[in-house]
Amino acid sequence: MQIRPTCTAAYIHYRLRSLLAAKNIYTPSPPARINASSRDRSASGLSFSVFFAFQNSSLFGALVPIKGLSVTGLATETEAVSHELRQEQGGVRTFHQPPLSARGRLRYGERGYTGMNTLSPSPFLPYSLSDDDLRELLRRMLLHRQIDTRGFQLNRQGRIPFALGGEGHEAIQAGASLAFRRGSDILVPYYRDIGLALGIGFPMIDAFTALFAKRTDRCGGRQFPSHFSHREIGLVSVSSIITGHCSHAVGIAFAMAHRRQQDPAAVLCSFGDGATSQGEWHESLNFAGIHRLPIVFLCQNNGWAISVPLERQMPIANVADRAAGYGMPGVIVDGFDVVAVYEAVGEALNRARNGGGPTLIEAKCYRFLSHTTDDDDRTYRSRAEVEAQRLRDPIPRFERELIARRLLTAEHIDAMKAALWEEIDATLEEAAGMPPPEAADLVRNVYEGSHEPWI
Amino acid sequence: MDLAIGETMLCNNVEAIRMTLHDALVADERVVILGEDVGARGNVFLITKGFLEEFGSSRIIDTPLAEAAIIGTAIGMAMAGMRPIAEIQFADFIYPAFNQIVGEAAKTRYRSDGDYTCPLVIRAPYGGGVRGALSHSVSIEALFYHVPGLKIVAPAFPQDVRGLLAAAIKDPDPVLFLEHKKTYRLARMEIPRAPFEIPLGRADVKRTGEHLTVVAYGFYLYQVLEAAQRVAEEGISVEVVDLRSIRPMDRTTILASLQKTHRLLIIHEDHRFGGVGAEIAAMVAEEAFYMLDAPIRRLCGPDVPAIGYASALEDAYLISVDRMAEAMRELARC
Repeated sequence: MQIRPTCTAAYIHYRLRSLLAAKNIYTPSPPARINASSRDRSASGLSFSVFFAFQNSSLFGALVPIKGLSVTGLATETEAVSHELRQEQGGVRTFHQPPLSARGRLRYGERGYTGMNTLSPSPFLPYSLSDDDLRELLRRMLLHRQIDTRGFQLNRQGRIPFALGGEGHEAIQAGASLAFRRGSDILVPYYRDIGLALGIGFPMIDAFTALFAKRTDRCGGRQFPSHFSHREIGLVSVSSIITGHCSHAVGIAFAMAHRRQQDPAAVLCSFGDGATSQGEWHESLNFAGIHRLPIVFLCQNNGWAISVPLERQMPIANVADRAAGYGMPGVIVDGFDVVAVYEAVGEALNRARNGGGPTLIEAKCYRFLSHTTDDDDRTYRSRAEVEAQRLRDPIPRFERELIARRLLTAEHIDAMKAALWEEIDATLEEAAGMPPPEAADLVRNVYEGSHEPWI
Repeated sequence: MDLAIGETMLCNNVEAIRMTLHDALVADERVVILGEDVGARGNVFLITKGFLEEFGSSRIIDTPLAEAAIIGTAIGMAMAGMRPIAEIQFADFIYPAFNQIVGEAAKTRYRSDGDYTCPLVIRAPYGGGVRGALSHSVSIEALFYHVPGLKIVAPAFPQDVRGLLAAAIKDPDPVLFLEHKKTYRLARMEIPRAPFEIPLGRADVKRTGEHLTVVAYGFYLYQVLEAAQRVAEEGISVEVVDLRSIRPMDRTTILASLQKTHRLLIIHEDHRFGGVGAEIAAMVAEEAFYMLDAPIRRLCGPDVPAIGYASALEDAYLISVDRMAEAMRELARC
């Protein structure tokens, strides 16, 4: 399909403005910025994304994506725009936290570029978080990054057989963990959620006893690292089987909804982009949608399922677009923007807690490391791509913002990192010194009571 | 259990299941039933008829037509402290949920080292002989009894159905509860009126005998007992062990019977190769070889993919009372 010459960003902007005006949605004039990008000229043809920034009193800084243009065979641009607007309430919404300092612009056409992070600064809008919260977000991101680094180093040193890293996911996990309500919400995570786990209170020592597969590990050294379980803090045992946990999250949300607990609570279910290809993923969202369960599905879309890129995973640009099929809002958020993630997850969790039903959030990020220590991403993606994505690294970006906002200085941040290294290394060595499981531990907890099949 | 005289009732397996589910729903508000057509329709065999009206849609849940989601959601409920009873409409439909049962439910306790458990019952009607054709006749026990972390029960008679289902619902681990469709309304038998439990993993001697032991479970027990009666008139005394539980399995009762009869015939509807009978035969060969006076015999379903729809095909798959009686005679002569 070809884009006709009239179908320019300016034209779309014109159409969109008139439609928005008709719906009494205030649009600034001129608009903050319009960015058009074309990507994914693959099997499904040309996918064309335009993001138009607007502000209104209830939803500052939100974006309306006009993605239907060349994707779904809509006859005209006008129809595409109005189609998109019809989708707006039950359909996909794009979150973007208004930044307080200049952000690096994305280079269009890069693999993995999805139209995020395209706004110019909007310095009028305040963060919804306190200064302490903002500093805490950075601390969680740094902790995540540094523990990941140690995990890979321990593996390369031959001290542990395997580690999983979430580099590139720090902003999503720190932001989501801050929105999580400890003591009442339940987290059903996947294997790349070490930052999320630590953020909701998983003890650092337990992360390291898991890395070393010690007897004191909460899973007794049975599971891979990062496959945590901690009932007391509301963290559900992680399964390695992709998407196996999504329906569990639905069941937990069902139990929550029908238990009539005093504190309104919700389930946060986290997974990667690969998980969305499994049939059970669709079954889970369908079930949650039917019963309007208190659950937030958080897709951490890093663009890669081991070696398979997103365009081989699904024929559409956004996971969040699928939400409409399950009767829930779909939200796209810049997964490199920690505050935007906090906002999006927080709003969705609040809606879920208050009886508003489920939400699908797609946080777009990038996996900077190989899938695991056993993987070598040089065999399937270019260094140029990874390096280009590294320029978007959420941690330095957030550091710059906090410095610009005078919440921290570079020296403060260096001191934070040094303190974390100290804590991490002390904890690491403490865990390393703990005893391994014993052979007799093999038969514990098969059933309650005897593991023997014969009586 | 203390039973006063007169506190018994006549019921078939459908009524026994229904009564037990009802008892559980009344006694424990954590109990919910979920599956396809369990609500408004009251299950395709009418086992849960009227439950929706009595207990409401938050406890009797008509699910989307998605077996993996039924079991997965039930696992989540179980992990959250509920007592879900998930129904797979026909055992033949359980395969989409294989991962949830084998990969998730059976490993929940183990992989979290006891942090999370999965007290879940999966009810599944199984078995042939009802003109159920290729995909409504299957036996699934051998596919699952290999799996540590699962328990499997396959009772045949109303009393066992009631007692074992009650125990399964209270069990702290996942239980696959197999109901042979042909036994559903086959016979009304007298059972205690008050709720009671039968511990999982215990076989039951349904007929005592001297000359040979038949181990069986499910619908075939009805035929085994008939065949045993037939050969008894010829002077062959058969002891019939009803396995009731497939995993854990009752070695003690089997070996005690062999100590008396010294001959073992295993009969089941499921395929012969790798079936439950293979494990029993191996166990007996390892532990009671010198107790045996004759080779162990198995009478099982043939190793073809499924039971056919045509009655000739179904009959050829299934084992008749005649064939059972003949196998008993042969083994007794051995």
